[in-house]
Amino acid sequence: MSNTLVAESPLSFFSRRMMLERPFETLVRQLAPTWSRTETLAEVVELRRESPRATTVVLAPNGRWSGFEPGQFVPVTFEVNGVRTTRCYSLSEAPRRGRLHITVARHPQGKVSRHVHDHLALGTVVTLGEAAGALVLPREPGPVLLVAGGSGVTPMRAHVRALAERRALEGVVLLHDARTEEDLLFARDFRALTLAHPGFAYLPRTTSGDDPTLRLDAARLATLVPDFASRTALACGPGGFVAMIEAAFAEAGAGARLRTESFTAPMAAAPPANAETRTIAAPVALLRSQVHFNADGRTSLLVQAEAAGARPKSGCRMGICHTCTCTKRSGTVVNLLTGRVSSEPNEAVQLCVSAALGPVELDA
Amino acid sequence: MSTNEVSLTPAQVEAFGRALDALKAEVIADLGERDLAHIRGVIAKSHAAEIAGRAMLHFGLGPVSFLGGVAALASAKILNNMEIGHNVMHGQYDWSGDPALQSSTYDWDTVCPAANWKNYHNYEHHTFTNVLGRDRDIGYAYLRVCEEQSWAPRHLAQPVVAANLALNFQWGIATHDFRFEEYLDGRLPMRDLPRAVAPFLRKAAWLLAKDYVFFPALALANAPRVFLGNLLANGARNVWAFAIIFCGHFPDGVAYFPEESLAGETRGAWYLRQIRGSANIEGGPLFHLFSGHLSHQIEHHLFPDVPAVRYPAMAVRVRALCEEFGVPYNTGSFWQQFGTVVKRIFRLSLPARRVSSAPLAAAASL
Repeated sequence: MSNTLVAESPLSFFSRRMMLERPFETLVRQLAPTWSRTETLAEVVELRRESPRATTVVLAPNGRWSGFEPGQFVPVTFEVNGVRTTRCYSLSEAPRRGRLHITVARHPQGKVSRHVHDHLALGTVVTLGEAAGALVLPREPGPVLLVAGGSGVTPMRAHVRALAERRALEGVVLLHDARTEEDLLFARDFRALTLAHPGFAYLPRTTSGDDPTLRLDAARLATLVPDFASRTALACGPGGFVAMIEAAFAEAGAGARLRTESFTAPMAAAPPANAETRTIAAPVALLRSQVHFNADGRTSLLVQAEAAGARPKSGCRMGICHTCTCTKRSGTVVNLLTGRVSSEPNEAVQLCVSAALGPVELDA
Repeated sequence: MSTNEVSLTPAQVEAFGRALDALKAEVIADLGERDLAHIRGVIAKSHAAEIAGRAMLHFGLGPVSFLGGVAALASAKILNNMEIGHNVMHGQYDWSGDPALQSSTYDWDTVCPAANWKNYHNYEHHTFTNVLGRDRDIGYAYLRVCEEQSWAPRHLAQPVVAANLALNFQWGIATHDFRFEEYLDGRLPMRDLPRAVAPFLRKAAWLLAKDYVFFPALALANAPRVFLGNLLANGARNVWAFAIIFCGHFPDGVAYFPEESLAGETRGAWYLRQIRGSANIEGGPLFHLFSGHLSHQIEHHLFPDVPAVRYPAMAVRVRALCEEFGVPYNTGSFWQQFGTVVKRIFRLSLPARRVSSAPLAAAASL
């Protein structure tokens, strides 16, 4: 609980030992909902519908928030029907005092994006991680090219707004590919900026669904932005889109000028195959005891860990006492008693009644 | 003592178990925001009651605010220990991922360290429920609560011992995991004892300092009032917890099992043992809340890691299943159940009149 790097104040030490921390916290949170000694919390202060499929969430973080650079993302933890679930979102607005913007595209299969669109309410408190990501520009970038596919436009929005504030938007090219007009997020805002900054080129393109002949490729890139290889470039979008841009830069011998970030659209999890017939060989890593083994998808992780020589704490061996409960850092497991599937990182799992459905890392 | 014998074929026992498994899976799939809102609401209320109770004791003058303060503080401690602490440490809210509600890190506001509690309660008591020699909660090593426990002269004093245990229940709970009797008779090496009890001593010292030094000192002239108020609130919580917990496994009609019954026990048979070894208390929603829903001891023993607030609804289904399979379901009012517990403590303080060991044999044949 206590942070060993930072000396604990006597007040906090006494209140922790006397178990007065939690009542105190409840009292303070009545007045300041995002107050916390340990967590970066933020309150939802505005919800803005950008399109039928995208919503901007404006967050007011507490004092523990340490800032970000345009182009970075932040892990945000929502409670989706009571279950904490974390996703990373690019910040879609230039850094402002006391406010963070994220823009969430709705995916029909996306548990979190549907929650944000359909259930998130003003005043909700969410938990933030630290800003991260290398999709940032050097201080003096020279001519800039920003390439976005779909909702990969969100970090580019932060760049464009920050460059506009610094009056450095001259000569910047923003290329945005999206399926439909509706998916050209922030189009009105970008068009307004082209009027205010005549040197800023905004090139929106719609690919009208999945017609491959309309998609951006190296030849089209060279036509649209002939000097692309001499620019400091950032690209963000789906994996295939970003790979194509990387190939175009590599071919032009300009791979070093490009920084990228890609994402995969969420997929509906396939229900696990019947436990009796399931056969897999998934690597399982016990991070604390440094034991590795292959899970068969049917036997409990506890039994397999013990067979591999590990001795995790355990008790009832039938799923009731939670002595063997540990944090799953990554991977997907199924509860053999209830059939509940855990695929999010950092969920608590019971080793004695859980089987791996793929590679798994456990804090055991 | 009346026993609750059942005559089911092994196939029926397994069908019964599968029906209970299905009920559990159904409720687990339905867990969500509602359950979280419940426990957070109770936590907020317990904190509000603690603040209100301490304020009344500190700043009040007359007997009304004194009694009000004791009642509020006792309520806060009861909610913290029973509906919040006991249930969170069972892992009932692990699924939420909320760091404040994880069984691995939660600690409750009573002198028993969470780690000791989880070992002898979550593991030993819930796995080996009512198995003589394995479930140390049968009489808590102080009392003779079933005929199968052999009588010793010290049991003559057990009505007094039980009353003392009720008044000091948190200390009984806190020291139960240490197996002092095994250190005394040499089964455990004495040199390990200091390290085993150190976390308990540390926690107890801080919590004693809180209620009997820190808050009285803060109250200046009101110090004696605060000291006495805290003492009564702790005592009320102790007696209440004792009464609820003793009604769970020691009323008439509850069965105890020999160690041999564990050999080759199936999941269905485990479920059956939980039902036959537990008893419910009837009451209203507030009563259930203040008992931490341990008034539904049967459902708690079937589904210890399902949020307890679900037990009342699950009880309807469990009871129907019991009727269908002819499994006895032990329930009654608080005074009915507690009355038989008290009578039994008196009755079993005397050596057994020569009775047959039929109940044990019946249990063993299952």
